[in-house]
Formats: sequence, structure tokens, C-alpha cells
Amino acid sequence: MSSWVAVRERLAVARPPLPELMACATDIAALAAEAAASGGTVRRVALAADLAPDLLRQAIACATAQEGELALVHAAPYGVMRQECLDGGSALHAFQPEVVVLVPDWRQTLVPLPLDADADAVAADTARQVQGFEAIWTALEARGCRIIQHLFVPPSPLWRGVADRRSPASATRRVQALNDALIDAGAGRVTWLEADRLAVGVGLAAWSAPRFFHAGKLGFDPRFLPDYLPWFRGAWRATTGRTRKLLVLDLDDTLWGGTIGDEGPAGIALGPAHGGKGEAFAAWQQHLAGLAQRGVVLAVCSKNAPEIAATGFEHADSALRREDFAAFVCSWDDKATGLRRIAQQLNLGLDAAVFVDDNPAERALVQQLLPEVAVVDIGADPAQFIERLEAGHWFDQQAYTEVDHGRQAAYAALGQARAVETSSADIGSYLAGLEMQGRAAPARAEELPRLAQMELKTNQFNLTTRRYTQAQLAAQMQQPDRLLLAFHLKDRFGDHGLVGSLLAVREADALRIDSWLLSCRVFSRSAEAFILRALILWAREQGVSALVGEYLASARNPVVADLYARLGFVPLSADGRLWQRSLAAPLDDLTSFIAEASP
Amino acid sequence: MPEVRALIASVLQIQPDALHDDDGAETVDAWDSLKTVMLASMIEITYDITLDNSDIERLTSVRAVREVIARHV
Repeated sequence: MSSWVAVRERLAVARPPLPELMACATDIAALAAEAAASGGTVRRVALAADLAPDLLRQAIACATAQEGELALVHAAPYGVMRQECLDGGSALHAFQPEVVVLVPDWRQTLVPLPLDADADAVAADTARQVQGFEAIWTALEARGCRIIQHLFVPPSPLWRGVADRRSPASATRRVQALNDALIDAGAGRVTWLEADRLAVGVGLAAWSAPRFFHAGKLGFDPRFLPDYLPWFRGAWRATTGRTRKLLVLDLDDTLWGGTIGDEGPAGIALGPAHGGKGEAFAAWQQHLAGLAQRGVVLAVCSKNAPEIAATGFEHADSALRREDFAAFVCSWDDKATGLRRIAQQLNLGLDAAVFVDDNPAERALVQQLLPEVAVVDIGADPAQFIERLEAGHWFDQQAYTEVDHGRQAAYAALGQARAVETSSADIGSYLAGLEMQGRAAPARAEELPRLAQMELKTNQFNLTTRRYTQAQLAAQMQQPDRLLLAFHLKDRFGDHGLVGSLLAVREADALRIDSWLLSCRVFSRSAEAFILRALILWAREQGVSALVGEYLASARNPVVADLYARLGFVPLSADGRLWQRSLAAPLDDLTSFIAEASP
Repeated sequence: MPEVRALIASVLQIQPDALHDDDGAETVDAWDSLKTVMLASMIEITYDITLDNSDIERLTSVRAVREVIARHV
């Protein structure tokens, strides 16, 4: 049997496969029984269904575990849902559930009506059904149970097509009318799980799978069980009052294509001028603006300079404006630190936050340091961002309120009123966990095109912004008094390739760093220290005595204004342009989490 | 493609070595009607086939599982 921690780890994937769900459910059942027997904390959930409940019982155990709660799930025998709920002496009530999940099926619910029954006759039957459910809800409420109920999944086939859709007495029409009436009647009493939309999403015919209904009285094809989990989790959060409220977004390649610090507002991919990709980013922003209008609090957490980042929201095709964000954290700190600041500024718990970032390393950091944050992998295709975010049902709720419509503005005001200090996270263990391997070696001729491209594109981590052309770089490579270093980095998420360069020039007995670039993808990873170590070792071999660093301020590079100070250099000039570090000094202060890659 | 015995064992949550060709619902306690249905679903997913209702009901021994799969692939 796996431990609770191990089970949760096995379930911490986007879509756990069917056998894994079954195995985890078995372990959870044992863990929950053990905890219940020894007086530990377990959630008591009862399932009452018209059809075979076992698969759903397993899925519910796994979904609550994904929500961080250990649940003991009791399943009433199928077909006696109504009796088990109404009869105070039933096994279901003896179990004393806090949450009851009701899963009715149309085949057990709709009484036959004449084919030509009119709308009034159908409405009367619908009203009778609703009354039946109201009696069940009342019985459960009287015993303090909260209620999650599946909406009815309509039957897949239609008799004779459109004619059946026009007939009020058709099963399809009756199910639709019943769902609508139930939602109205259950307002404030029942948390609805939209099983009908789940079934339509995967394909109504595929979902319904009569072979499984006839073989085992299953209401659906078991292959879709993993798809059920996010829907249940959404309903679970709603019924336990833990709906997510805060959506924290990265900027570059998450809200627009490209890096605003390098390419500027005119260069980012956003809007129809940038083809399908730009349109997809614009549609995604419109979706996020819609969430904000409906009460989801938006925040930015980005590694950027705040004033440069804000220019992205002045873009003509940006549906989001700077003031749509209740918190706007742009800094070079790690993202866990940024998220903590946002939560503190907004007075929200981190367990209310959903974090979206295109960068897998940032997601891994947040997942590791802040497990209570829901981290969403939206992939790399902006056309799929909306679907991949909404697949988690993070923000589903049962009804809008006036508070929802005004929440964004209220939080935006709060965010602007507060200023909080930066706190530090345990970044070391995160960086170590990335298993980075680097190589800083003299550049080779075949690397020149990429080096020249970086000269053109890199604005932020660019110490002197000299913008050497490929021909100039090729010429410098040939000169014996110069060293052009190329830096490659890979980590457990993949190979980043050539992401840094450094040009050093021998001048008398000193070595001057004439140019130093690093791609913003690999900022804050101790790459600077790694590259500097390589340079110092080379310089010692050359017999030079001092290392001089040069910094030329530009509009885009304030992020590296203090780089030399951080790397143990002392200022040579008052204007902050030239810095010096003794080559004899030990290298202990140059801590790097990057291991030397084998050549 | 997993070996048939390994596939069955993963659904029954038992060790593949514990399963022999003569085994089935009558000799393995874990092999109940729910597991039979789950097995049907796993076979469909693994081999990308659609089983008949009668196939699903027959999946009550290692030998029968082999026969059903062989008929479809």
C-alpha cells in the first residue's frame, strides 16, 4: 500500500490513466479506513446513483485526494438512490456522510409519456420530478449533508432527427427541461456537476457506450473516467467553499508571443497583424478579461522591468489593461517569491491561486515551493490556452453575485494601496533540483549565426549593448588577444542550447569584459557565476593579473546594473562603468548550481 | 503492447507471476464483475478495438481474454 504522500504524487499529473486511478483508489480506501478507525481526519462522502456506482466511487476518492483531502467514500447499491436518501434508517445515513453525491440517470427517471403529449403535460411531469428531488434534498439537509448532484446526461440517439427535437415529449427535450428546472429549484441547496457538458465534450455517443450499460449497468465508457476528475474537483471546491479566485499570469509567451523586454511592444505577437498566433493571443486575452468581469482576480508575476512590462498593455490589440491587474509583480526574484507577495498584497490565500506560465521550470519551482497553488500547464500553442486552462474548472461556480462583478475593481484598489517587502524563498534547493549542466567554451565558427542573433535580440542581460555583427564576431574570434565564450545550458526539462556569450579583450595585463549577454529564459539560475568562473580560470592561464568588467547603461538593461557588484567586483570609476575583480581572489563566492557538462 | 497477462494483472492489481493461463474469475478473488468491465475498457484502449457486449461478458479467464483479443487484432 502506498503512503498518502505517494498516492498524491501519483495523482499529481494532468490525466492519470485508468489503471493508476484504480490502484490509487484502492490505496486511498485503505488509508481512509485506517484514519477513520484511529480517529484521524477524513472526509465522509456518500455516493447514491441510479447506475453502477463503483467507478465513480473510485474517481471521487482520487479527485478529493488531488484536492488534498482524504475521503472515505461509501457507495449505496445502485438503483436505490431515492430510498437510501429518504429513509433515515438506511445504510447511507448510518455512514453519516458530510457530502452526498447524487447521480440520477434518465433511464431510471423519465416515466413514459404518450408520443404526442403536449408541453403542459411534459411540464407537469417535470414539476413532479423536481418535487421528488426537493424531498431528497430536504431529507439530506435535515441531517447536515451538503449535496453535489450530477445534471442528467441526455440520451445519445434521437428518433427521426429534427422531428424528435420538436416534440416536447422526446427524451432529449425532457432531460433538457428537467435540468433547467432542477438548476432553478436547487439554487443555494445543491452544487451541480455538469455531467451533460462533460459527456458532450468527449462525445455523447462515445460517452454513453451501450455495451458497457448492458454488460455492467455502467452509465458511461470507463475510458472517460479520468476526464471526470476535474469536473468533480470543481464541484468539490464549490461545495466546500474553496473555489479559486486568483489567476496569476506570466507575460512573455503567456499573454503575448515574444519577449517584450527585447522586442518592445511593437514586436510582440498580439492581434491579427501577427497572423493566427497573434489572433490566438488576442482571443486568450479576451477570455481572461471575461473572467475578470466575472469576478476572477487577475495578477501578473513576471521577470521583467515593470515599466517595460506595462507597455504591453498599451498595445492596440491588448484586451487587458494594466489596471485590470490587482497585483503587478515584475521583478527578477523567483516566481514563488512573487506569488507570496501577490497573495500578501491582496490578502488572499495561496490556496486561492491558479498560476499560469509557459515556462516549465517556473511551474516546477512554484509546484515544489508552493504546493497549495494550482499550477496549470497551458502548453505552447496559444490557440489551446483557453481550453487547457478551463479544463481544470478552477473558477467554476454556481451563480454570479454582485460581489463577483465588483471584485476585480476592489482588489485592484487594494493592490495599489499596499506595498510589501520582498521575502526570499528557498531558491537553492529549487535550482539544485533543476539538475543543470552548463558549458562555457571558446565559440566555434558554426555558432556564429546564433551568437549574432543574440547580439541583435538581447536587450536586458546585455552589459554593453555593442551589437556586434556576425562578421565582427568572426574577426574577433581570430585575434589571439580576445576570447569569445559561448555558453550552453541544459536542465532536466530540456536543452536550452546556446543562451549566453561573453567577449573578453586583453589590455596590457588586464582582461576586460567587453560584451556579456544572457538570454532572459535562463535568468536567475546562477549562470553568471558559472560563466565568470570559466573566464577566471582561462585568464589565470593567460597570466593576466586583473579582470575588468564594463557596464554601459541602456534603457533596457537596468537588470544588470548591479551585476558586477553581485559578482564580487569593486567599482573602478564613480559612474559605475568599470569594475575590477582580483584574479587571485578565491572563487568561493561564485556559487553556481550548474554542473560542468561533459564535452 | 503489454503482454496479456500483465495487462490483466494491472487491472486486478496483482502480480503478473501470480496469474496462470488457467486462472479466471473462479480462481482469482480480485476478478469480480467490476474488474471484468474495467478489463474490457483497458483492452479497448490498449488495442484500439471496440468489444462486443458478448465479448465483455466472456472476459472471465486468461484464456478467454486471449481469444477475444486475438479475434479483434
